[in-house]
Amino acid sequence: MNAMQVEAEIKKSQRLRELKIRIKNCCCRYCGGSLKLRRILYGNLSEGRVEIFCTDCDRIEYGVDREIFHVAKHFVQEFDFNMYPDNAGNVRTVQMNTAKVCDIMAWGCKNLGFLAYDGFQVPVDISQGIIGDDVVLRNAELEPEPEIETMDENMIFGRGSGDSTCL
Amino acid sequence: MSVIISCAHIGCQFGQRFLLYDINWEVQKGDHWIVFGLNGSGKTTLLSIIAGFNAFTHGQLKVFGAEYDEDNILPLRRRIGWVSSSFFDKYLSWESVLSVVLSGISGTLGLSRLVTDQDVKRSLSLLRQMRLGDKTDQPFALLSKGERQSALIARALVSNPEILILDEPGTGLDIFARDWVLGTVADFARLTDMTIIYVTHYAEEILPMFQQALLLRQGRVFCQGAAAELFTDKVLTDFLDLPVTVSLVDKRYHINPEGRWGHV
Repeated sequence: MNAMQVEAEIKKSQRLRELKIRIKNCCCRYCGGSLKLRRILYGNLSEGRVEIFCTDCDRIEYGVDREIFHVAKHFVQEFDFNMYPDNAGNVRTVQMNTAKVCDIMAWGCKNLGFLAYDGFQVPVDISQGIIGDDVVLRNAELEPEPEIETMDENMIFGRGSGDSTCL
Repeated sequence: MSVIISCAHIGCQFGQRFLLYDINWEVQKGDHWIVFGLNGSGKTTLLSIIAGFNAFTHGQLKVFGAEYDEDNILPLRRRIGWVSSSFFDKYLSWESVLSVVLSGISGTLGLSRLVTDQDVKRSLSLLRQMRLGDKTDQPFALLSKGERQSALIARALVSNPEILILDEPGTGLDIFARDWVLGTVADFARLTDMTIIYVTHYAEEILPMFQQALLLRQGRVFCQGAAAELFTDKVLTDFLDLPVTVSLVDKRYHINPEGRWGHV
């Protein structure tokens, strides 16, 4: 394989590579659950048919770095943060608030140069009071090659019905 | 004028059944087309294939002069605004409205690192224009039908598409929301050079700027050409297999059944 072929190979499925990196580092912004790669569409081209998915929330979810989720969740719970006072005070509202704080924190960290799509660019040391008993896994501790789930047609057509196992 | 969409003998086989069969259709840059057909005629399937969200099994499709492949599928999708609640409702549920709109930036269903602050500002601005400024963080599934249509229109527009495909945008909307959507489409046609494809069941939604029509029946092209020549008593009676008369009121077509369908 010559240099040009190698470069073409790297460019090919670039998005898929990025998504694989992301599910190792990130969790769902809403529930903190693990993310999976899932083939959503029935197209022939892998670049266009695979998305990151939270099976707990049943949603396509880009995710956020686990460290940020823990801090955001702690912030929402500790200070009763609520930017959706018109919503019912239920789990969904708490999750929406957590996701919003995750977005704000991720935006801030990215613009401060700490965070890129492939994770934190500096060592992160979360306060034990925030992380509690939860364990944040590092890249090296995670399986190297995540599998892509295939969503069967019944699962697709069952979506959007308002049923969710998470909320 | 250049050919922007070219379908040559496109077929889509699912098991033993053809959802689409031998579709030949060319759309020129700047054209405004109506795709008209009854339920199950293959309209959404055809347009989801053209938008790069579905696979086909037969024939050749070129969009912007290229066939979809691993390298170009996402860049090409970004150039096509695809509004179809019958398609997206299958895949989107608990995703936030803002995420749905931002997914249009990458031509995917989820987000990507391509999203910039400018994209977020533009998405929020579009959502405000679509009267969804207070719903940006709400789950897509909790919006009303009309609000979901508006969110999908914002998603379609966020990447400044060259082709806008609207799949039954008026279905399920109240008369005010439908009028607003039609007015918005008319503005796009008048103020931009976008190629627009408008799919509908309802002849009265066909605005005067849609001068060409593709009539689909049972997955096949029944006929195509100038809308004024196709929306006639004879053609539509043959197409619908039922006697109808077509009238033009305020530059809008109305299909009137002769007698009462469904009654002997």
